[in-house]
Amino acid sequence: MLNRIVKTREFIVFLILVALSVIVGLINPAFFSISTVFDTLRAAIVYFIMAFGVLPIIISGGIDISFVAIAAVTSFSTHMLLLKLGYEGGTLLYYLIACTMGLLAGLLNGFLVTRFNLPVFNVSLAAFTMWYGFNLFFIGATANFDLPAGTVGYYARFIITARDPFVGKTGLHVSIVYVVLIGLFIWWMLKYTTIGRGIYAMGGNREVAIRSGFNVPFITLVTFAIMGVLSAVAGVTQAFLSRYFNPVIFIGQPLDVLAAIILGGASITGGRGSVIGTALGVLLIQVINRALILTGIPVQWQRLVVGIILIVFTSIPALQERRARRIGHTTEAA
Amino acid sequence: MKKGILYVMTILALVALLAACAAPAPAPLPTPTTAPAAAPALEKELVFASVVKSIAFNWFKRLETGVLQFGQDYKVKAFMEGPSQVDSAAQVAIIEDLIAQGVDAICNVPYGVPENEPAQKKAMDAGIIVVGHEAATAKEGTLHYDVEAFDNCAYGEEMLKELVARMGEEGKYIQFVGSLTNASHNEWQDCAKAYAEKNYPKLQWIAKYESKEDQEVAYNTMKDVLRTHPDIKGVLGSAAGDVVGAGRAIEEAGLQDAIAVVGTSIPSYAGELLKTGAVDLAMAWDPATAGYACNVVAYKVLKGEEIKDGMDLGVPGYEKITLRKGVNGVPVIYGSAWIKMDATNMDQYPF
Repeated sequence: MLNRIVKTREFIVFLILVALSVIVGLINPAFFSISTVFDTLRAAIVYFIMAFGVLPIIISGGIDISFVAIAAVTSFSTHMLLLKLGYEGGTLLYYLIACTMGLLAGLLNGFLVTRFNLPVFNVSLAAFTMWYGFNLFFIGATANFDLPAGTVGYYARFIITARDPFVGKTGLHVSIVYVVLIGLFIWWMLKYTTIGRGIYAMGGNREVAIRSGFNVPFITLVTFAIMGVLSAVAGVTQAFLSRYFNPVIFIGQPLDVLAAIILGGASITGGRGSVIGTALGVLLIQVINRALILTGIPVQWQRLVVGIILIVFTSIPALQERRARRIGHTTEAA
Repeated sequence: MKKGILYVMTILALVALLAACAAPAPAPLPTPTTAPAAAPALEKELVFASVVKSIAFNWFKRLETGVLQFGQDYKVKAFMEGPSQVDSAAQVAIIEDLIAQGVDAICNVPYGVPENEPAQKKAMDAGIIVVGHEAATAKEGTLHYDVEAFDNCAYGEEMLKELVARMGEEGKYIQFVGSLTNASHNEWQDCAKAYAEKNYPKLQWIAKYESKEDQEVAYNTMKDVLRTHPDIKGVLGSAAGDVVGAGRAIEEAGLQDAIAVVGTSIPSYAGELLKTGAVDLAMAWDPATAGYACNVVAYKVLKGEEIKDGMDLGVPGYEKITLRKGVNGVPVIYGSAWIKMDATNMDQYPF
């Protein structure tokens, strides 16, 4: 049992994450504080949610980049609508409206893919462009800082707070609860439902999945519905965490999310990937980003260093797998 | 798959092209026959385009009001365009579009100055008047003029003086720039740093961070800076969101009284934090007058008027301009149009 865990890609990513954290912590002991953990998690919250949302599509063999645009259009148009109506309540209504829009936007992608048999990536590229354009043209092109009274202070609603000697008061933000619930749901769905098994089957071999009786169009629609809803959750959450609504939120981030999923062991051609691996991948990218400031690596080097780390760290599991294959084993898939 | 991508891209390109072509379509209104006989023969309406780093910023929305005002005052068609996201490549594509449309003048506010130069030169070669803003380091021959609200070096020094007035003459400070290739941001900060080294030797410079014009990046960076340098006393910002992101981290840490935050920003971004004191001072120029002045210069060049040192552009803050050659050869026009905003006077600047 232990032996099997040690051989998984998830475990390798976990080791890399630990090793990197130790190195950063040795250079700057401030990294080993509970407040750093809280801050890293806080910055990662929306990336967890988006990555969990798009993971089923990746496993089923598709590549989607429209999730960031759906996050932007659902959160921003919900906000501008409620602002117009003079809403002064809490965050719940935001989530409800945005998630409904997200569901519809996701289903639109799914409909185009299943009905006209279009490649997932093409549809997502079109949706990416269209939804950002929709925001800028129809909803408004400027960031909005007017939050309803009921949501003011949400950015600092913590489950546990930590008094850090350097950073002052910080804490574990309540929205981490959403991350845990969503993560558990996706994990359960992938592992224990027919839909979940169908998602892996589709990614492994679509023909075989169809012949084994999986309802492929239905499963595709479900993956897109999940993506749409979770993108909306991520968009609204990010807006409340950063205290403003931005029509082009996340526009530069789809590759960061996909990189995290792939770092976490998912195969870009489908058939493989896990919630744990994805979560570790998201954390790894967050730690890499923070490492540069905490260790004082000059900013000019930042992008180069991130690129190199990504190459090195993605090749380690791949090399390991090749070795395993050569000596006659295969690494555990799901 | 590859073919499919190409197909989608082609359609997107066609749609973009259609949209671009549609823009100049409305023909100039026929002049009423009752117009005074002395009126000049109906000329083709002049078209002045302004291109900005991204239209998704209040800052450039304000600039647009100046552009539109200019259009009204000078009886020309004036409009503003820009990418939805700060991106030099997208900005260059917009300029290429405008060249194809045959506009008369372009006022360009480049995200990365070097990346925009070839497109600007191409526009000039096509007979278009090209005036820059925030592009004083452009190479000779890539702009007719560049218009700056003020001398960047003097502005950076002013920013540092304001910071020192709030943090004292010793201690650690950091700087933010929107991007390491942004000419103006880096000139402000490098001059501020040089001024500090010369006049306040006990100030300790830590680093110049890139916020990627994203306040979330500034926020996360600031948190790690607090952790790495707990005794930090000052923050200088360049992009409008820099002090907002940094200020939020400082406010959440309860350190608004311990750390001085001074930087370029505007009340619609920093207003709330100016009130709580997490951001101490926002400095800026009014983008509306800058956009207006940029177009006025283009207009004067188009009409063959000479731009002279000390002349009045007829725009507030640009009544007595300074004309100097930029470091890379482009003639640069400096106004003296900076404004300082804190909790007490921010209401006078509704942008």
